[in-house]
Amino acid sequence: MTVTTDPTTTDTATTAIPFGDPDAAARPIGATTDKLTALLADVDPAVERALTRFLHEEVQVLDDWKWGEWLDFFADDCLYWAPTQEERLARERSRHISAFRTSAYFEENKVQLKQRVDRLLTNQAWGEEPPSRARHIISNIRVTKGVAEDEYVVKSNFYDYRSIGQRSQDSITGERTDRIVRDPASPWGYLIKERRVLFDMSIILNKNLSLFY
Amino acid sequence: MTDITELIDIENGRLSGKIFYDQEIYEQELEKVWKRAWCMLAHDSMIPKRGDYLQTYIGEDPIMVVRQKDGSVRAFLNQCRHRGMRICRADKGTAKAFTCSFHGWAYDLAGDLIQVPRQNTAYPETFERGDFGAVKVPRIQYYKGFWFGTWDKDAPDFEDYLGSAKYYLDGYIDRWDGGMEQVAFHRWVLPNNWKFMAEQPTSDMQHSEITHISAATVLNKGSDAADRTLRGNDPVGRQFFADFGHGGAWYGEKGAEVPNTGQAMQAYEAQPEIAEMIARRLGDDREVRGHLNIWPTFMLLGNYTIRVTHPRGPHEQEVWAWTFVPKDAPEEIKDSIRRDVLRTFTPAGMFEADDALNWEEMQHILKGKVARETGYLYQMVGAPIQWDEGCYPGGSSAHVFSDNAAINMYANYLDMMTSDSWEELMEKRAQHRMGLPTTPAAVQA
Repeated sequence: MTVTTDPTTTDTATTAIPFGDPDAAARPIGATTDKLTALLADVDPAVERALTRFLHEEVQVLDDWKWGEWLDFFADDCLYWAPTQEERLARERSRHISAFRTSAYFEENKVQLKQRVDRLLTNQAWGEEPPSRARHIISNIRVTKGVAEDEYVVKSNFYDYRSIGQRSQDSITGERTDRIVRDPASPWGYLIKERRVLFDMSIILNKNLSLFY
Repeated sequence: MTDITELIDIENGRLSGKIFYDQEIYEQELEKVWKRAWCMLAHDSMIPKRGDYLQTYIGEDPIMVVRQKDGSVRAFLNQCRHRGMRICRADKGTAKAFTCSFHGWAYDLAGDLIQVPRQNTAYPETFERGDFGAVKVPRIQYYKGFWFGTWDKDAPDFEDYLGSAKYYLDGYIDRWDGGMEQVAFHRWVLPNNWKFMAEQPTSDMQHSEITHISAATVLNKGSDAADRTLRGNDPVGRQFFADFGHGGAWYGEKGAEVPNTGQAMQAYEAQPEIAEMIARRLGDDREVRGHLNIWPTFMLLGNYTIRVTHPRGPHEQEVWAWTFVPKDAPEEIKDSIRRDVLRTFTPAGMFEADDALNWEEMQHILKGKVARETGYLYQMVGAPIQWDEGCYPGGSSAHVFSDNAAINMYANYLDMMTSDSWEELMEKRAQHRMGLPTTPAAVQA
């Protein structure tokens, strides 16, 4: 298959998630050194509140099937990535999660995300026709400063429930790690530059992953 | 034992829904199909170094596949001989030995029992570790990078089992001097009978233009995934089937380019030195990629997703799908194949998502007594069946859409389910070659 643009190839790192400041929690802030105070001081409370609301608004848009509006949350050069996991012994634990550009459920740029959205809007995407009722629940939102100016790394956990057809239902849990940048020109004032979705299942027990996470 | 001869009508192309639903028939499949057929266990690139292992299944039976110190591969049942615990619970890794987490019985790379805690003090002197090695898969054969295994000592050699399907399988896996390697792996569960999926790469190219219309609509024009679906208006191509239930179909005519892996891959294969290599390995007239299933569930799709499905009762299956690439291809070619597969034929793939829905509904409907007895139709002829026509071994039809390969798959299934030995099965298969003038019109089991 051909794609017209491919920002995913610009990243040469072995992981697509190099961002964030791993030392943020350990950094002393003035005379105060307890971890929580340090974490809270790392990010302006107004920004943290804004980003929390930003993620809550995003999943509402998903649950409302407003796919076109959902794309507004993402930068044009975004990466939407979901690696696979395997059962590995503890001594090989570093290999639980597949490396970037190996096994993935998603590895999308904005053009490719739009293709997936357009597919759902054909009214012939039988896996979601009639449409499912989905509920995205986001919690454990943690905002830390990113590496770049006006960039934040936001971790959150999700529980996504889907009811489809008369009796079918499934759910999936996982962790999202987002790299979000401030962009006053964007509809929400912020844009997701990169999202890593880590599903907790090693074998996906759902019949498909036809929505977004 | 259920007599399934009443449930499969080869002559009239009719099947009973019971074969997809009935628990007793399923138990019979475990015995007659899964304990007898050749199943794909691993590829060299999955276990490259000595001590590398992976867990897989033959049917419902968990199997350890392990690279030995001498480079060979062995396979054994992943079940401790003491109390039946799984010996190894990791999907894959590298090991020197495997120790059961229940009472600590330890097995070496070949599956031989090497340590029993308290053997000297608590067991009688007559206890011999050699009597209690893990149950070995008795026959393992290597074919062009892949390792296959069967429980049945009397099964024909793997190449004979392939029969005329060998020609078509080679079209996928034997194109490259440097061989192939696995670069991605996906697993998911579908709530339906395993035969629904097996049937699709064996025969059903036609579902694509309906089931996958949404994906084909949004994919870029000129992309293979879009093309192979939208070509339904002019379905030039061929479908083939082989004696032991294998089958496949592809678009295009002899000598035509078969664009199954996207434009980057097409351009790569069109390079003179690459085209020369493929022609040297396969011959000039080989163009046979599309869908292929080696019975029961070793499936190859044209964009190099290769998969095995494992049955999980009559109502569920696990899909294990690997992405393969030519080992010597440039990184950007490998990456284009990998991304093509992940966006089309994984649980999040735009094609796969819609297949799942159909099969789930079909399975659920079979709960109905009337629905189960209504029966399914397999009467699409496509074109007359020819045998060993031109450069195409086996039975085939000069039409990409047909039910012939599917009904051949069920004819083989019927013969397997009603035969007590490979010898008996092979006799039946020889008599039941569909479309031959000498063949009795009806299959009497």
